[in-house]
Amino acid sequence: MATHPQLPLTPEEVAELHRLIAWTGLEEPEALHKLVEAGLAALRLEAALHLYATAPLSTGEIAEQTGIPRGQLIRTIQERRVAPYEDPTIDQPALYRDLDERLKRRVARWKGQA
Amino acid sequence: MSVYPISSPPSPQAVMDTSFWSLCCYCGLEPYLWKVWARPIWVPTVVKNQIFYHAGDYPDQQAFQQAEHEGLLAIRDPQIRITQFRSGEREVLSLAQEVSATALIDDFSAHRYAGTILGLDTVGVLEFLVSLLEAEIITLAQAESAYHQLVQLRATNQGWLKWAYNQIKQRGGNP
Repeated sequence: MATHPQLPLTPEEVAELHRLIAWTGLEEPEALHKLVEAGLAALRLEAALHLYATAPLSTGEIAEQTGIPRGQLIRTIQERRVAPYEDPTIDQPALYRDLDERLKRRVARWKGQA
Repeated sequence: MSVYPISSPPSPQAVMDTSFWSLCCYCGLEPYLWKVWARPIWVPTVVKNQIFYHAGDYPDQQAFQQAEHEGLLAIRDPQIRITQFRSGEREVLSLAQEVSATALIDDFSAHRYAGTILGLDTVGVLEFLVSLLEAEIITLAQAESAYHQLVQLRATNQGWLKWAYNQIKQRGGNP
Protein backbone atom coordinates (compact mmCIF):
# COMPACT_ATOMS: atom_id res chain seq x y z
CA MET A 1 0.00 0.00 0.00
CA ALA A 2 1.32 3.43 -0.89
CA THR A 3 0.94 5.52 2.23
CA HIS A 4 -0.31 9.04 1.94
CA PRO A 5 2.68 11.39 1.62
CA GLN A 6 1.12 13.83 4.08
CA LEU A 7 0.67 11.11 6.68
CA PRO A 8 3.90 10.18 8.41
CA LEU A 9 2.79 6.69 9.39
CA THR A 10 5.08 4.20 11.10
CA PRO A 11 5.22 0.64 9.70
CA GLU A 12 3.07 -0.47 12.66
CA GLU A 13 0.47 2.17 11.84
CA VAL A 14 0.49 1.13 8.18
CA ALA A 15 -0.08 -2.50 9.25
CA GLU A 16 -2.89 -1.35 11.53
CA LEU A 17 -4.45 0.61 8.69
CA HIS A 18 -4.29 -2.49 6.47
CA ARG A 19 -6.11 -4.47 9.11
CA LEU A 20 -8.78 -1.82 9.54
CA ILE A 21 -9.32 -1.52 5.80
CA ALA A 22 -9.74 -5.30 5.62
CA TRP A 23 -12.29 -5.26 8.43
CA THR A 24 -14.28 -2.23 7.40
CA GLY A 25 -14.30 -2.80 3.66
CA LEU A 26 -13.43 0.88 3.24
CA GLU A 27 -11.42 1.94 0.21
CA GLU A 28 -7.97 3.18 1.11
CA PRO A 29 -8.62 6.88 0.38
CA GLU A 30 -11.76 6.80 2.50
CA ALA A 31 -9.93 5.00 5.29
CA LEU A 32 -7.14 7.55 5.16
CA HIS A 33 -9.66 10.36 5.18
CA LYS A 34 -11.29 8.93 8.30
CA LEU A 35 -7.88 8.48 9.83
CA VAL A 36 -6.98 12.13 9.25
CA GLU A 37 -10.40 13.30 10.33
CA ALA A 38 -10.82 11.37 13.50
CA GLY A 39 -7.67 9.39 14.28
CA LEU A 40 -6.84 5.74 14.47
CA ALA A 41 -9.08 5.04 17.46
CA ALA A 42 -12.13 6.30 15.57
CA LEU A 43 -11.26 4.16 12.58
CA ARG A 44 -10.86 1.17 14.90
CA LEU A 45 -14.32 1.86 16.32
CA GLU A 46 -15.75 1.93 12.78
CA ALA A 47 -14.10 -1.43 12.17
CA ALA A 48 -15.63 -2.82 15.36
CA LEU A 49 -19.12 -1.67 14.35
CA HIS A 50 -18.62 -3.11 10.87
CA LEU A 51 -17.65 -6.48 12.37
CA TYR A 52 -20.70 -6.38 14.65
CA ALA A 53 -22.96 -5.92 11.62
CA THR A 54 -21.25 -8.38 9.31
CA ALA A 55 -19.46 -11.12 11.25
CA PRO A 56 -20.63 -13.96 13.52
CA LEU A 57 -18.64 -12.68 16.46
CA SER A 58 -19.67 -11.78 19.97
CA THR A 59 -19.14 -8.22 21.16
CA GLY A 60 -16.40 -9.52 23.47
CA GLU A 61 -14.56 -11.12 20.57
CA ILE A 62 -14.89 -7.94 18.51
CA ALA A 63 -13.62 -5.87 21.41
CA GLU A 64 -10.62 -8.17 21.73
CA GLN A 65 -9.81 -8.06 18.01
CA THR A 66 -10.16 -4.33 17.55
CA GLY A 67 -8.93 -3.07 20.89
CA ILE A 68 -12.17 -1.16 21.48
CA PRO A 69 -13.35 -1.59 25.08
CA ARG A 70 -16.52 -3.70 25.12
CA GLY A 71 -18.40 -1.14 27.22
CA GLN A 72 -17.69 1.51 24.61
CA LEU A 73 -18.66 -0.86 21.81
CA ILE A 74 -22.02 -1.78 23.39
CA ARG A 75 -22.81 1.85 24.19
CA THR A 76 -21.99 2.91 20.61
CA ILE A 77 -24.01 0.05 19.08
CA GLN A 78 -27.04 1.21 21.06
CA GLU A 79 -26.52 4.91 20.42
CA ARG A 80 -26.06 4.41 16.68
CA ARG A 81 -28.72 1.70 16.49
CA VAL A 82 -26.49 -0.76 14.69
CA ALA A 83 -28.25 -4.00 13.76
CA PRO A 84 -26.28 -7.15 14.60
CA TYR A 85 -25.06 -9.73 12.11
CA GLU A 86 -27.70 -12.29 11.19
CA ASP A 87 -26.32 -15.73 10.45
CA PRO A 88 -28.07 -16.95 7.25
CA THR A 89 -27.32 -20.56 8.21
CA ILE A 90 -29.44 -20.36 11.35
CA ASP A 91 -32.49 -22.57 11.01
CA GLN A 92 -35.21 -20.08 12.00
CA PRO A 93 -38.03 -22.63 12.56
CA ALA A 94 -35.70 -24.63 14.81
CA LEU A 95 -34.71 -21.43 16.63
CA TYR A 96 -38.38 -20.57 17.20
CA ARG A 97 -39.17 -24.11 18.42
CA ASP A 98 -36.27 -23.89 20.85
CA LEU A 99 -37.44 -20.49 22.11
CA ASP A 100 -41.02 -21.79 22.47
CA GLU A 101 -39.94 -24.84 24.47
CA ARG A 102 -37.67 -22.87 26.74
CA LEU A 103 -40.41 -20.29 27.29
CA LYS A 104 -42.82 -23.01 28.47
CA ARG A 105 -40.24 -24.55 30.82
CA ARG A 106 -39.15 -21.18 32.21
CA VAL A 107 -42.66 -19.90 32.92
CA ALA A 108 -43.68 -23.23 34.48
CA ARG A 109 -40.64 -22.97 36.76
CA TRP A 110 -41.47 -19.38 37.68
CA LYS A 111 -45.05 -20.27 38.49
CA GLY A 112 -43.86 -23.24 40.52
CA GLN A 113 -41.59 -21.11 42.67
CA ALA A 114 -44.14 -18.34 43.24
CA MET B 1 -37.55 3.02 49.52
CA SER B 2 -36.71 0.65 46.71
CA VAL B 3 -38.21 1.30 43.31
CA TYR B 4 -38.14 -2.42 42.71
CA PRO B 5 -41.41 -4.09 43.72
CA ILE B 6 -40.45 -7.38 45.28
CA SER B 7 -42.93 -10.02 46.32
CA SER B 8 -41.84 -13.41 47.58
CA PRO B 9 -38.14 -13.80 46.75
CA PRO B 10 -37.57 -16.55 44.19
CA SER B 11 -34.72 -18.99 44.52
CA PRO B 12 -32.86 -19.45 41.21
CA GLN B 13 -29.59 -17.61 40.85
CA ALA B 14 -28.66 -15.55 37.82
CA VAL B 15 -25.51 -13.99 36.41
CA MET B 16 -25.92 -10.94 34.19
CA ASP B 17 -24.00 -9.56 31.22
CA THR B 18 -23.55 -5.93 30.15
CA SER B 19 -25.90 -5.64 27.20
CA PHE B 20 -28.69 -7.54 28.98
CA TRP B 21 -28.69 -4.99 31.81
CA SER B 22 -28.33 -2.05 29.48
CA LEU B 23 -31.21 -3.20 27.25
CA CYS B 24 -33.44 -4.03 30.23
CA CYS B 25 -32.93 -0.52 31.58
CA TYR B 26 -33.55 0.95 28.14
CA CYS B 27 -36.98 -0.69 27.82
CA GLY B 28 -37.93 -0.53 31.50
CA LEU B 29 -37.85 -4.25 32.35
CA GLU B 30 -35.11 -4.20 35.02
CA PRO B 31 -37.46 -3.94 38.04
CA TYR B 32 -38.89 -7.35 37.14
CA LEU B 33 -35.58 -9.20 37.32
CA TRP B 34 -36.03 -9.75 41.05
CA LYS B 35 -39.56 -11.08 40.60
CA VAL B 36 -38.09 -14.22 39.11
CA TRP B 37 -34.43 -14.44 40.14
CA ALA B 38 -32.86 -14.46 43.57
CA ARG B 39 -31.24 -11.45 45.16
CA PRO B 40 -28.51 -10.62 44.50
CA ILE B 41 -28.10 -11.16 40.80
CA TRP B 42 -24.38 -11.71 40.26
CA VAL B 43 -22.37 -9.38 38.08
CA PRO B 44 -18.69 -10.01 37.26
CA THR B 45 -16.28 -7.12 37.84
CA VAL B 46 -15.55 -6.67 34.13
CA VAL B 47 -19.27 -6.34 33.38
CA LYS B 48 -19.63 -3.57 35.93
CA ASN B 49 -16.59 -1.86 34.44
CA GLN B 50 -18.15 -2.11 30.98
CA ILE B 51 -21.41 -0.57 32.17
CA PHE B 52 -19.48 2.32 33.72
CA TYR B 53 -16.94 2.62 30.89
CA HIS B 54 -18.22 6.04 29.84
CA ALA B 55 -18.51 8.30 32.83
CA GLY B 56 -21.90 9.87 32.44
CA ASP B 57 -25.42 9.95 33.63
CA TYR B 58 -26.74 7.00 31.69
CA PRO B 59 -29.94 5.45 33.11
CA ASP B 60 -28.38 1.98 33.28
CA GLN B 61 -25.51 3.37 35.37
CA GLN B 62 -27.85 5.11 37.81
CA ALA B 63 -30.05 2.01 38.09
CA PHE B 64 -26.99 -0.19 38.62
CA GLN B 65 -25.71 1.98 41.47
CA GLN B 66 -29.07 1.94 43.18
CA ALA B 67 -29.57 -1.79 42.74
CA GLU B 68 -26.07 -2.54 44.01
CA HIS B 69 -26.62 -0.25 47.00
CA GLU B 70 -29.83 -2.13 47.82
CA GLY B 71 -28.14 -5.51 47.57
CA LEU B 72 -30.09 -6.50 44.45
CA LEU B 73 -26.91 -6.76 42.39
CA ALA B 74 -23.56 -7.94 43.72
CA ILE B 75 -20.13 -8.35 42.22
CA ARG B 76 -18.80 -11.88 41.92
CA ASP B 77 -16.07 -13.32 39.71
CA PRO B 78 -15.54 -16.91 38.57
CA GLN B 79 -12.73 -19.05 39.96
CA ILE B 80 -12.13 -20.88 36.68
CA ARG B 81 -12.71 -19.39 33.26
CA ILE B 82 -13.87 -21.01 30.04
CA THR B 83 -11.60 -20.37 27.07
CA GLN B 84 -14.33 -19.29 24.64
CA PHE B 85 -15.36 -15.68 24.16
CA ARG B 86 -13.79 -12.65 25.72
CA SER B 87 -14.25 -10.16 28.53
CA GLY B 88 -17.79 -9.99 29.92
CA GLU B 89 -19.25 -12.96 28.08
CA ARG B 90 -16.48 -15.29 29.26
CA GLU B 91 -16.87 -14.13 32.86
CA VAL B 92 -20.66 -14.45 32.82
CA LEU B 93 -20.70 -17.93 31.27
CA SER B 94 -17.89 -19.15 33.54
CA LEU B 95 -19.62 -17.93 36.69
CA ALA B 96 -23.04 -19.21 35.56
CA GLN B 97 -21.50 -22.64 35.03
CA GLU B 98 -19.71 -22.50 38.37
CA VAL B 99 -22.76 -21.63 40.47
CA SER B 100 -25.39 -23.38 38.29
CA ALA B 101 -27.11 -20.10 37.54
CA THR B 102 -29.12 -18.75 34.64
CA ALA B 103 -27.00 -16.65 32.26
CA LEU B 104 -28.74 -13.39 31.41
CA ILE B 105 -27.02 -12.64 28.14
CA ASP B 106 -28.19 -10.93 24.97
CA ASP B 107 -25.25 -11.54 22.69
CA PHE B 108 -26.60 -14.07 20.18
CA SER B 109 -23.47 -16.16 19.62
CA ALA B 110 -22.61 -16.34 23.34
CA HIS B 111 -26.25 -17.13 24.14
CA ARG B 112 -26.34 -19.97 21.61
CA TYR B 113 -23.02 -21.37 22.78
CA ALA B 114 -24.10 -21.28 26.43
CA GLY B 115 -27.38 -23.03 25.71
CA THR B 116 -26.23 -25.66 23.24
CA ILE B 117 -22.63 -26.43 24.24
CA LEU B 118 -22.44 -25.58 27.94
CA GLY B 119 -26.02 -26.69 28.63
CA LEU B 120 -26.74 -23.55 30.64
CA ASP B 121 -30.12 -21.97 31.13
CA THR B 122 -29.77 -18.74 29.15
CA VAL B 123 -32.17 -15.84 28.69
CA GLY B 124 -31.99 -12.91 26.28
CA VAL B 125 -33.91 -9.67 26.80
CA LEU B 126 -36.68 -10.55 24.34
CA GLU B 127 -37.13 -13.96 25.93
CA PHE B 128 -37.33 -12.22 29.30
CA LEU B 129 -39.97 -9.84 27.94
CA VAL B 130 -42.16 -12.63 26.49
CA SER B 131 -41.69 -14.78 29.61
CA LEU B 132 -42.87 -11.92 31.84
CA LEU B 133 -45.93 -11.50 29.65
CA GLU B 134 -46.68 -15.23 29.60
CA ALA B 135 -46.32 -15.39 33.39
CA GLU B 136 -48.67 -12.38 33.69
CA ILE B 137 -46.04 -10.35 35.54
CA ILE B 138 -46.33 -7.52 33.00
CA THR B 139 -49.35 -6.42 31.00
CA LEU B 140 -49.80 -6.64 27.26
CA ALA B 141 -49.42 -2.85 27.03
CA GLN B 142 -46.12 -2.99 28.92
CA ALA B 143 -44.86 -5.80 26.68
CA GLU B 144 -45.82 -3.83 23.54
CA SER B 145 -44.10 -0.71 24.81
CA ALA B 146 -40.87 -2.55 25.73
CA TYR B 147 -40.92 -4.37 22.39
CA HIS B 148 -41.30 -1.10 20.45
CA GLN B 149 -38.33 0.39 22.25
CA LEU B 150 -36.17 -2.63 21.47
CA VAL B 151 -37.23 -2.54 17.80
CA GLN B 152 -36.27 1.12 17.57
CA LEU B 153 -32.88 0.38 19.08
CA ARG B 154 -32.27 -2.42 16.53
CA ALA B 155 -29.32 -3.69 18.58
CA THR B 156 -30.70 -7.16 19.15
CA ASN B 157 -31.07 -10.26 17.03
CA GLN B 158 -33.71 -10.07 14.28
CA GLY B 159 -34.73 -13.72 14.74
CA TRP B 160 -35.49 -13.04 18.38
CA LEU B 161 -37.40 -9.90 17.42
CA LYS B 162 -39.59 -11.84 14.95
CA TRP B 163 -40.24 -14.54 17.53
CA ALA B 164 -41.20 -11.96 20.17
CA TYR B 165 -43.42 -10.18 17.63
CA ASN B 166 -45.34 -13.41 16.98
CA GLN B 167 -45.60 -14.21 20.68
CA ILE B 168 -47.06 -10.80 21.53
CA LYS B 169 -49.39 -10.95 18.53
CA GLN B 170 -50.65 -14.40 19.56
CA ARG B 171 -51.59 -12.96 22.94
CA GLY B 172 -53.71 -10.27 21.32
CA GLY B 173 -51.09 -7.57 21.23
CA ASN B 174 -50.29 -5.10 18.51
CA PRO B 175 -46.47 -5.04 18.48
